[in-house]
Parts: sequence; C-alpha cells; structure tokens
Amino acid sequence: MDNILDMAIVAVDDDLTYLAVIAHLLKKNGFTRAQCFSSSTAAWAQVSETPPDLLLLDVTMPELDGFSFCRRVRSCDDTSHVPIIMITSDDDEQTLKASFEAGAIDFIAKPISPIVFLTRVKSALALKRSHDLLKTQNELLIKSNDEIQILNHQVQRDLDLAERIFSKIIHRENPDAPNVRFLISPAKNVSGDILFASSTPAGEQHILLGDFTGHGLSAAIGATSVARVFSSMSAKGFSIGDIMEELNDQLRLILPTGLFCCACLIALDNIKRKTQVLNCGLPDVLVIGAQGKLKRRFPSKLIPLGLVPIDNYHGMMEEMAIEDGDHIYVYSDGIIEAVNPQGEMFSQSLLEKTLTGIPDVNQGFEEIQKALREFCATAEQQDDITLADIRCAVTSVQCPVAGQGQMTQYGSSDWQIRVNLSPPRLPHNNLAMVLYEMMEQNEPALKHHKINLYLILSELYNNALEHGLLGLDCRLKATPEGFESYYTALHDRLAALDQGWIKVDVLFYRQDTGRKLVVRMEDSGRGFDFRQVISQPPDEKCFSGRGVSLVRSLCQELVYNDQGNAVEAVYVWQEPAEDKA
Amino acid sequence: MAFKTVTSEEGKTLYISLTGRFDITAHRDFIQAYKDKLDLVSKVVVDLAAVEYIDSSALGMLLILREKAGGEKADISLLNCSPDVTRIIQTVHFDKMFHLC
Repeated sequence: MDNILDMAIVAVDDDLTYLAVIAHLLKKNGFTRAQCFSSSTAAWAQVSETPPDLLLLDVTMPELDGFSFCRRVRSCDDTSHVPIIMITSDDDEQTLKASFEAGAIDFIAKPISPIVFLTRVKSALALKRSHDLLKTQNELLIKSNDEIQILNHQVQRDLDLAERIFSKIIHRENPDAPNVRFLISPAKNVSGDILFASSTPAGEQHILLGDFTGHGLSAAIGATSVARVFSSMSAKGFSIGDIMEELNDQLRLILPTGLFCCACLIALDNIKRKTQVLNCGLPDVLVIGAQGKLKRRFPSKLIPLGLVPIDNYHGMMEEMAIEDGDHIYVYSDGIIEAVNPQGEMFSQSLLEKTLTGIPDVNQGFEEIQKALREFCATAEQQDDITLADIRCAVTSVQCPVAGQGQMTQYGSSDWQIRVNLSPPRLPHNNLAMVLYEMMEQNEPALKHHKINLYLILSELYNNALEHGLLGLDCRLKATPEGFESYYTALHDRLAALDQGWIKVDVLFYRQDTGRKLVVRMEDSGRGFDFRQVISQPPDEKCFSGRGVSLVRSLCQELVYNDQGNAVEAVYVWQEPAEDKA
Repeated sequence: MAFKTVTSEEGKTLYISLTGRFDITAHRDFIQAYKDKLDLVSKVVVDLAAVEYIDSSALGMLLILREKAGGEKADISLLNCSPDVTRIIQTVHFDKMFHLC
C-alpha cells in the first residue's frame, strides 16, 4: 500500500451534517476507501469484520459513545492496532485526557477545519503505513530467524550423525595390522579422513587412505560406502586397480557435485617383495629405505575419486620392489599444510627432512609427530591430519635348495606328490585337474589359489607333453584353422606314442612366514629354447604363446634347466588370518 | 564344460555361458556355441561366472572368437570374471581387446 489515498478509513458520527462534511472532505481529497457511519453499532460491526487503517470517532453518540467504542477497538486483538482520531466539540482538558486514556492517538476539534482535518488524517495514515511496514519486516525477520534456527538444528543433527557414523562404524574398523602405525587427528569433532587395511586371500596387504572434501554427513556416507567396497573387494582378492575403479563409480553416484575424495591405495606383497601404488590426489607417497634414504616417491597421477568415470586405473598402477625394513608413508595434506602460530606451513620439505634425517628409520612415525607438535605449538589445527607408516617386513619361505638354475630336492618338504607317466598312460587333458584336486585334499586352503595353480600345472604339463614328447610346433596355432588342426595332430600323435616319460613333483612347504608350493616337471624330450621364449613377449594378436609368460607372472620363480626339458615353478603366499586357526 | 547359448532380444546379442573348465577340452563346444551365429548379432557376451579352471588355450580361443566376430570391430564382453581370472586377463592385456564387466 504505497499510497495513503488507498488506505481504508471509517468515520462515525451521529450528526449527519458533520458526517457529510467528513465524507465530502475525504472524497474531494482523493481518499477512495472511506466509509461513513451514523450508527456506532453498525460501524463496530464493520470495523470488527474488516479492521480499517484509520478510525475517526465522534465522542458523543447514542448507543455506543466514542470512548467506549475506542476501548472496544483497543481491547479486541484484531483491531487493537487501528489508529483512532477523536472528533469532539468539547476540546477541554478532561475530554482530551479521557480520549487518550481510551486509546485515541489524536483529536480534531469541531467545527472541522479542512486543513487541520486533512493534515491529521494524512499524518495518522502515514504513521500507520510505517508501522505496518515495520511489522511486516519484523515478521519476516522472525520467520527467517526461525528457519535459521531449524536449519542449525538440522546441521547439528547431521553432524552428530556423521560423528556417530565415523566413530561407531568407520573408525571402529581402524587398520588392525601389526606393521601399520597410524595417526588420525580430526580438526573438528567429525573427520573427513579415512584409513583402512585389509588382506587378500593370496596374502597381499591392502591399505587405503582417503581424504574427503568437507566433513559431515556426505563425507560420512561416502566413507561407509568406501569401507564396504574396499573390505569386500580386497577380501575377494581384487587388485587395487579394480577396487579403485569401483570406489570411483560408487562415489560418483553418492557424492553431491563439487564433493570428492582424494585417495591412495597401496598393495604390499611381503613375499613377492613388491608394492603397488595408485595415488589419486593425495600428497606424494614416500618410500624410505632401511638406511633412511628416500628411495622413491609416488606422486598423484590421477584425479580424485567421485568426479569423472575412469576405466584405466589398472594401467596406472605403479610398482616397485621392496626390501626388508622399508617404510612406506602415506598421509593427507592436513599434515603438510599444518600451520604454526606465525602462519607458516609444516611443508613437504620439512616432512621429508624429518623422515630422512633420523638415525633409526623405525622411529620415523614418532619423529613426525614430535616435529609436528613442536612446529604447530599453540596454533589451532585447521584440517584433519592422517598419517600411516607401513613397514615392509619381507619374508622368505625357506626350502633346502633353491638357487638359480638349481632344482629342489625331493623329500625336503612338508608333503609331496610324485607322478611318473609314460605311454599309454599319458593323459592329455586331465592331469592338471587330477593333480590339483589331490593337492586341495592335502591342503584345503589351496582353494583360494585354485585358478592360479591350475593354470601353472596345466601350462607346464601341456608344454612337456605337446612340445617335449610330441614335438608339436606351436606356430601351427597361428591361424584359427591351424589352432584346430594342431589339436587334431595332438590326438593322432598321442595315440601313436610308444615311448618317453614325464615326471611331476609337487612339494609343499609350511612355514611361519608363509606357504610355498614347488611344481617341478621334467620330460624325456629334447627340451626347448626357453631363453628365447622368455625374452620375447608374446604377440598380442597371436592365438598362442602366452603360457610361459602367464606362469612367470604368477610365480616367484620359474627356473629351467639348461637343456629346457625340466622346469620348476615356485609359488608363494601368506595364509590369511582365518585359515591359520 | 557345459554351455548355454542364448541369442537375446531382437537377436542382437549372443550370450555364451561357460561352466567348469575353460581350456582345450572346451574347444569344440565353444566353437559350436558361436558358429553360424556371429553374422546375426552385433554383440557377444561370454559369461565366465561358473568357470573354475582356465589356461592359455582358453585365451587363444577367446582371440579366435574375436577375430571371427570382426577383429578390431568386434564387441565382446567378458562377464563375471573372478578376481583371479581378471588378473590373468589383465596380465596378457586382454582388457584392451575385450570389455571386462
């Protein structure tokens, strides 16, 4: 209501002459919503129904006089704010006092002076308008204040929930690995950092450190999902590349736009003596050697999780050989960006100086914490700090003889299987499966390695039979038709074979540090040039020639004798915890 | 080796499901599973969920399937590879030639 001429006015006077004057003055001066009543009861009916913006009241009226009308207006909730101007011929002190006491804000004396009348009406309306405006704004303020309070409550509840999720679910699963020491120091009550460790059926250790942007509920929900995917996939033996791809897909689904997770996955194989790293957005992973030297850094090569689809995590895995006593450090940026009271950052270089400049490399974890404490002193912690120190405890599974080019002695193991085969008892297809099933009966835990062990047995036996004894040339398999005729020739030659032998030995070693299986295969054939096969990677498009390189990728060692007619594959692993009991 | 072959909706996808051993003993059955069908489909799915054993001859057979299905243009998915099978397939870089899912 920008214009006071549009405001509603009610005038009441039993004297019709005055009422006509008032009506005339209002109409002439452009007030469009003025109503005049000679009966005060009729006027009250209208006022109580639709409260006007201004009420003009004559003092002396039959039925309901001006003062009583005034008090009634004031005492009713709907009308109490309506301004009232009394119109009176008795402008004595007494009357004025009674008017104001009854709740009027002004008075106009009779006879009515048009100028005085209009000025007072206009100023009363202007006042009413300001009052209304103030009231609306106040209501808005109160409303938004309420909304803010409600939002605050919601945020607080979300934070409580997030904290619960983190403390009850996520951090309960803190890495339970004797070789991993960790520091998790949230900046506020709710952390956005996560750290998990798990081991695969083949005895590899997986460590995951994640740093969510922001804290609170979205990070917590993201983190529960990450925990679930990580532990279930790791327990099934998926590679860190596969796990990272799944984590990325999950987080892209869950996280709102703009939120993401910097993460690093590390696979540690203490038996095969290697580590694999996939760093997606975290600071450099550092590998410190037993002499305190920085051996390698793994900078981030990929963008953080939850942003874009990536299907090449497997190809981005980086690998390095490890030695006993190496330490791998992985951490969130909270540690290098920690500030001291002067506002300076702890920095990457100070972190590396601390780690490499100590006499006992095993004290690195304590030294970082000490250096950080001294550096930050009284400064308040700004960001979550998470740090994991992974010690490489390389184990070797001993067996009496195993050196370059030398074969293991029969009889030195915990158990062994020996099979001597000669025609006509030379099975073409089933030996690997029969052997594997015998082995699993001896050692049920081998079932976790079924695919790998079958592949090793099958490749070595097929090579001994097809190339050693039958003299088949695998170049036959260069075309699809040749592939077919190769196996026809195999059947024919096998049926005609009347001499030669294959000896198979499987030796199993059980040690505190791990398990070791040796598969030895010897045939009476002329042998083959294994050096050439090993030095030439198989052609990607060729239908054959992958056997030896596959076996090599699965085994710690693959040793041929000089002639190439005897081979020994050494397969090692660590029993996962549940199989030890 | 037991096989199940299904040519799916609108005849666009050939679905081959393998059970047990995927090695040279599966050779004939595997060829039968796709023989005369590749011209009719645009996509082949090989389900390895129930495969217990695999060796390098299986890899050779997969490559032959790929060549018969159009070589570089072939659209072949390997479904339900276990972690160990996935690792073997990645070791020989087959993940670049087949869709692993």
